[in-house]
Amino acid sequence: MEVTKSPNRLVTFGIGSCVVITLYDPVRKTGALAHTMLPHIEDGKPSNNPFKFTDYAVEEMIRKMRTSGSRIGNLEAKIVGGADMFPDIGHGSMPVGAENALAAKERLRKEGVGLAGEVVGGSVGRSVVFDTASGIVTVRVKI
Amino acid sequence: MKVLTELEEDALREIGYIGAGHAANALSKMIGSAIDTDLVLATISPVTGLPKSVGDRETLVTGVYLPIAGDIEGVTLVIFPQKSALLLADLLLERELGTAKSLDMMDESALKEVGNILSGSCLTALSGLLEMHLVEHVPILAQGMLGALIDNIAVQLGRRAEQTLILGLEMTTMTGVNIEVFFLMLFTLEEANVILRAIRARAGEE
Repeated sequence: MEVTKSPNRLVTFGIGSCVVITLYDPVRKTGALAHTMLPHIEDGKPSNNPFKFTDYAVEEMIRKMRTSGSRIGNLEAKIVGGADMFPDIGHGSMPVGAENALAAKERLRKEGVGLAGEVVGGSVGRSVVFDTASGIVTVRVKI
Repeated sequence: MKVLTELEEDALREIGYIGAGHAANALSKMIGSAIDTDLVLATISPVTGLPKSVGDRETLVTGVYLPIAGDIEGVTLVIFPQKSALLLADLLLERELGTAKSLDMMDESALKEVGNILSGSCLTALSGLLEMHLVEHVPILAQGMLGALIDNIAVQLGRRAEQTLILGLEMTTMTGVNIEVFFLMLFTLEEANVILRAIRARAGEE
C-alpha cells in the first residue's frame, strides 16, 4: 500500500484476481493505492503482510488518509481487478477475484467512502496508473 | 522466513535438474527437436517472487495450470511467452512456423497436453527420487498478462501459506527458432518441509 500526493503517480501491473483500490482526495490532491490478494484478514493465519488482505488494506488506507488530513466525505474510491484468469479451476461459492471486489466494496461502504468507479471481473489481466494530480485511474489491458 | 541449508539447496537443485531432464526429454520427443534446459530457480520465497527471465508482469503469456496431488499437494505452472505458444502450436500441429496468429481450440488442447506431459514426466522423476506418490491433475489453460496469471496461482497457495518452494526451469528448443517454455513447481512451506525431510532421509541413506 502506498500513500502519496500530487503530482506523483502510483502504478501497478498485471492484476488478475487481486484488486487495486485507489483513494483520492481532490481537495488536498493526495492519493493512496493498495494491491490486495485475499478478501478477509480473518480467513488467514497470522500474516507478515496484512496488507495483502482487502478489508484490512482498505481500512488502513482510509485511516492513513484521514491521519494526513483528509476528510472522509471528500474521499473517492475506485476499484480495479478481481478477474478470474483460470475460470475452470474449481471454486467454492465465489471465485476469489469476485470475493476481493466484494470485500473492497463492503469495507468502503462500512467506512462511509463513496465508490466513484470500478473495472472488475472478467478474465483479463489489467494494469493501473493512478494520477494524483487529476484523480484519474487509467486501466490498461493487453490482448 | 524459512532459509534453506546448503544441503537442502543443493538437493533441491539436483532434484530440479533431474526433473528438468525428464521433462525436457519428453518435450523433445513431442516436437522432434533437442531441448536446452536451465534451472533458473530453486528457492523458498513469496509465491510472487518468480524468475525475472520469464518476463515482467505485463508480458503476454499462455499458462497451463496443473494441480499436484498425492503424498503432497502443490501446483505446476507451465508458461509459454505468447510468441513461443504460437510457434509451439505450429510445431505440434505440423504447420509452417508462423502460421498461428492466435490459439484456437486445437492449439490450446495441444499446449495443455505439453503441460500435462512436462508435469507428468517431472513428477514421475520426483516420485522415484523422493519415494513419494505424486500425480498431476487435469490441465487448465489461460492467456493474459503474466502478473495476472501468477496472481491467481498465488491465491491458490496464498490462502494456506506465504512462503512457497519454487522450482523454475527454462527450456529452449534448438530448432533454430527460439521457443521458450518455463516450468514452475510450487509448494506451500508445509509441503516443502515434507520434500525436504525426504531429501534429508535420502541423504542419510547414501
